[in-house]
Formats: sequence, C-alpha cells, structure tokens
Amino acid sequence: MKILGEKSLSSKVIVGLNILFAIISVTDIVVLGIIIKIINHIVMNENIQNNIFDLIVYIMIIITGLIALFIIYQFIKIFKNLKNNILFCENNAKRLNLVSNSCFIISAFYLIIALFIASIMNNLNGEFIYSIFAFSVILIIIFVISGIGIKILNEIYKKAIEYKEENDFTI
Amino acid sequence: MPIIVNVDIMLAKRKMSSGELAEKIGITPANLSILKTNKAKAIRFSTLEKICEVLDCKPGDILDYEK
Repeated sequence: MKILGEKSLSSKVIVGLNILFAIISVTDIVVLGIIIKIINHIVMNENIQNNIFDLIVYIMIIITGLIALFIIYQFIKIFKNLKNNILFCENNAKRLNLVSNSCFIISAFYLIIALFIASIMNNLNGEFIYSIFAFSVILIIIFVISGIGIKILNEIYKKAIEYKEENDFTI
Repeated sequence: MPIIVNVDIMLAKRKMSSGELAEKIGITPANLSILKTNKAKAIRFSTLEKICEVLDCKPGDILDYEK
C-alpha cells in the first residue's frame, strides 16, 4: 500500500484525524455545558463537595480535549504535507516540536492534578478519587514518554532536512 | 561561507554564456545559478572537472578562499 502521496495511507489517516477532531470538538462543547451546570449547582450551594470533584474531572477532560485538538490539528497539517509529497520541510519539524511540547503541557497539567489529589487523599478516601489519581499518573507517564519520543523523532527529522538541503545544494 | 565560486569571471574571460556552460557540463541552469550565487553547499569533483574542462582552467581559477 502506498504510504505517501494521493490516495495513500496518509490521505486516509487525514480522514480519520478529521473525524477524531470533530468528535473531540463535540465532546468539549458538551463538557463545557456540563461545567456551566455544575458551577450553577455550586453557586446554589447544592452538594458542594461532590460538585467540586465533578468540576475537577470535567475541567481535566476539557483542558486535555483542547490540547488534544491542537495536537490533532498539527498532525492533520503534517499528514497533508505528506499527502502532497512535501516530506522534508521546516514546517513539519516545527509542528512536531509543538506536538511534543503539548504532550509535556498535558503531563504537567496532570502532575498538578495528581499532586492536588495526593494532598487531599487522606481526608477523603473515596474509590473515585483513587481512580482519578491512578488515571492521572498513567496519563503523566504516557504523555512524558510520548513527548520525549516525539522530541527525539523531531531531532532526527531536523537532521534529515539538513542532509536533504545539503544534497540539494550539492552541484 | 568563505569559499567563493568565481565562475562568472571565468565565463566573462571565455566569453561564454551561463546557459551554454550549463549545457556543456550537463547541469541545469538552476543548479549553475546556485553555484554562481554561492548558495551551493558542496561541489562534486566530477562537476568541477567538467567546468575546468569546458572553461579550460584550473580549480583555483574558479574557487577562492576569503577570511
């Protein structure tokens, strides 16, 4: 199967990424609605403790969703370049760098959440809070590893661009 | 880059056009332009040999080093 160019795997991946982008966008809008609802409940002093936990979870989801949208957008652009056979361009390297930085931002965000949960864990020993803590730790590990991996790939990509440029300017 | 390519001077001395040189050494005018404008990162010995052959000169006549 063709990997690059028209009617190739990269053009099919773009379709998949576009669908994913739409799904995450809709989810983010729904979550935003839920957050507004929860804030209303908190303002009206209804079951404040549970509502605050719900609020934390939904804020986690919406922020992760927004960063994920940004990452998917960058990947769509990269795959569009691959589809058009523009393989070694500075733009792709910059986009990969942005993706790796976004991964680090997500992991930093979840680290803050995990630390916050760890600080209140003794006071509230619900199963729910333990599962959020475990979920945060897993996400931190996944995104740190992804961020480092993409950063290394980006450096390799930059080297490839350099070599290609050298080859292009060898007469 | 401190290496200067002086193909232009040799072309003027030999009263030859860039297009003619490009055709004789078998490279595209675009590549010859890269060479003339000092944008080239490297030059193959085979290309240098052909340029010297066509322009009847030595590599030192084409290439110069400036600090």
